[in-house]
Amino acid sequence: MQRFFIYFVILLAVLIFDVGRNHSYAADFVVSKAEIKHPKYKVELYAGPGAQDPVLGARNSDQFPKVVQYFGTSTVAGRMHHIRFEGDPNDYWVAGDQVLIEAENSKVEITCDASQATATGNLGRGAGTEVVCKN
Amino acid sequence: MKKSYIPLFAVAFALAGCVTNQTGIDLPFLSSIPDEGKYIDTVAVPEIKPFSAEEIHQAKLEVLANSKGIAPLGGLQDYAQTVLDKIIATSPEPTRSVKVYLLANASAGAMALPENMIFLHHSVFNYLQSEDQLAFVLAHEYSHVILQHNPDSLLRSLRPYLVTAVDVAVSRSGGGDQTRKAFQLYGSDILTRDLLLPVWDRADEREADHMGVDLMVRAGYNPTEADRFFEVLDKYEQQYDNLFQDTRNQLEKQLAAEFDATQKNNDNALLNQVLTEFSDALTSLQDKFADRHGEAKERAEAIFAYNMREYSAMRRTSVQTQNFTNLVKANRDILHKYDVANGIMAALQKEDENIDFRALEKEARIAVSGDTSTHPYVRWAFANLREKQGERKKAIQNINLVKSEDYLPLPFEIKRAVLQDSLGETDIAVSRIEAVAAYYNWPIEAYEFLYPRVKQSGNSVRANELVMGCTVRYPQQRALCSGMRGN
Repeated sequence: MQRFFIYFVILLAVLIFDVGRNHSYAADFVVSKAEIKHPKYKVELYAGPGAQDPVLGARNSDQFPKVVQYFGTSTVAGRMHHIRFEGDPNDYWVAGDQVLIEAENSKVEITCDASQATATGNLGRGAGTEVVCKN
Repeated sequence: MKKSYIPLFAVAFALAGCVTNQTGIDLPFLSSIPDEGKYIDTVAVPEIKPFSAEEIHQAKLEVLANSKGIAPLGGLQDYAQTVLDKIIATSPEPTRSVKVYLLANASAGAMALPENMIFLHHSVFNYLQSEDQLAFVLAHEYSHVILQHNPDSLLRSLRPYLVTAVDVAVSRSGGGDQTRKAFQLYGSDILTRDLLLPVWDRADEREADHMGVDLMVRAGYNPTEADRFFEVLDKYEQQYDNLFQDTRNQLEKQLAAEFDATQKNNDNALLNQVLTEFSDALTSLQDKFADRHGEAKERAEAIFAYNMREYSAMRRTSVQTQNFTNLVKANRDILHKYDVANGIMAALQKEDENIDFRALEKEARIAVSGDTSTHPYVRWAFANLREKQGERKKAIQNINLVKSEDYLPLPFEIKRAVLQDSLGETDIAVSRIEAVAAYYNWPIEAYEFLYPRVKQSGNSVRANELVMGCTVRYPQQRALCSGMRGN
């Protein structure tokens, strides 16, 4: 009985810990084309979407991969795209007025708001994605 | 060797502000945008010009005469007004009152009138993504108002050609059904857009962009959404143009055939003159629009550089999406019905054999159901569908169901009159259009409709008055007005 109780507590702890994780950071990326909109300027790589998050580095447009893993967009401090580079486990955030994300996956299923165009924009899936409304 | 003082004079002249830069490109000494500092802090805003209630009314009527009316989407219009009022409150002219109207039009577009009015196409709520983007559109248009920019009058002078010259030319050249179909763009949002939107000077656009960004930041919005606006606008315009691409191709092909000198009727001097004038006018128009489209990227780049220079910290403020998204969500059904109506108009412009009337009828019924049952935009689509089906009485019924305080938007009035005339109700139609013409300050479509019918009725005095009136009001269309006499 005591052993069962210990197992139960461990299971509960694992579940609580798992729920606490933000899955959107770790899964559900869309392989996307990344286009540097203004090549004359270096693209800053932020550690997070907030205004206080530190800058991890900056890349020239010719050093920026043409394809990235795209996780989503935050608007808490400007329009910031959450991306990862292939072979690099770190999360980076780039400014939406510097990088244009265009999803390569042909379809993304979402709940549409008013029209597909609006829905695409609201979820920051980037231009070019074929959006399928679930509703 | 004699020293030339010409360059010195040129520089002095430019610095004195006597030369304006019409190119929109940063030229030394000529650009009105400062190399350092904010544009709003350097520009001298002209004194407010007062307008009488009558002037404001007439300016609004001119827009309505060219459109499918104001979209009765009160919640969205009020929201846009609230955003504009926020911008005005922190602008150099906080006491100025500017009114926002939502025009029923699915194409991308917005326009400002000097008479303190801003017209947004309802489509802004289809493609914009945040209140900040809406704020940029409104701040940009408001900047045209306070800087007292004057739009190019090209479109105003072209409008009568666009509306009637093609029609007259085609009917006289014996164009068949095929030709008629090509010109069904009239009444579509795309041509309405081309008729309505003023063509601004490129330098004016740059000033309005920079002032727009300054104003939106003052009102607490994120300036990077101006950059994003250009992106979503470009995307939407491409989608929209694609929707009507078949018709556009057909139209261009037909125009090329009509304007081919070898196919002109050598015996008809009037027709040749109209064709030549219209051809020239159309070329200018196309150049203007191509120019506008091409410079979007350049404008986005300029705004990005300006934001990096002047608003580095503001780039990382929050983007206001919540209210915008909620409001769009609340109006989702109505906006969807407008999309359906636009889709019906696009489908009607295809070849007959490709049209599934049953399916379109089903969609039209959805579009006019519930809240939108009296909305001009959806009834227009249904009326056009009924007309295409040969159901003229039902087409008239759809127009009659449109709710309006005064007269209906001009295209509705003209269409109903043409349908009534075709059903033998000419007297009713003529009498109504006489009143409509007076209300809309005698647009050329009214002359075109009235003259042949009045003449046919035997009232030669009134017929002559119409030709005289047309010639006086549209001196540049003398040939067209005189042509009426020959009908």
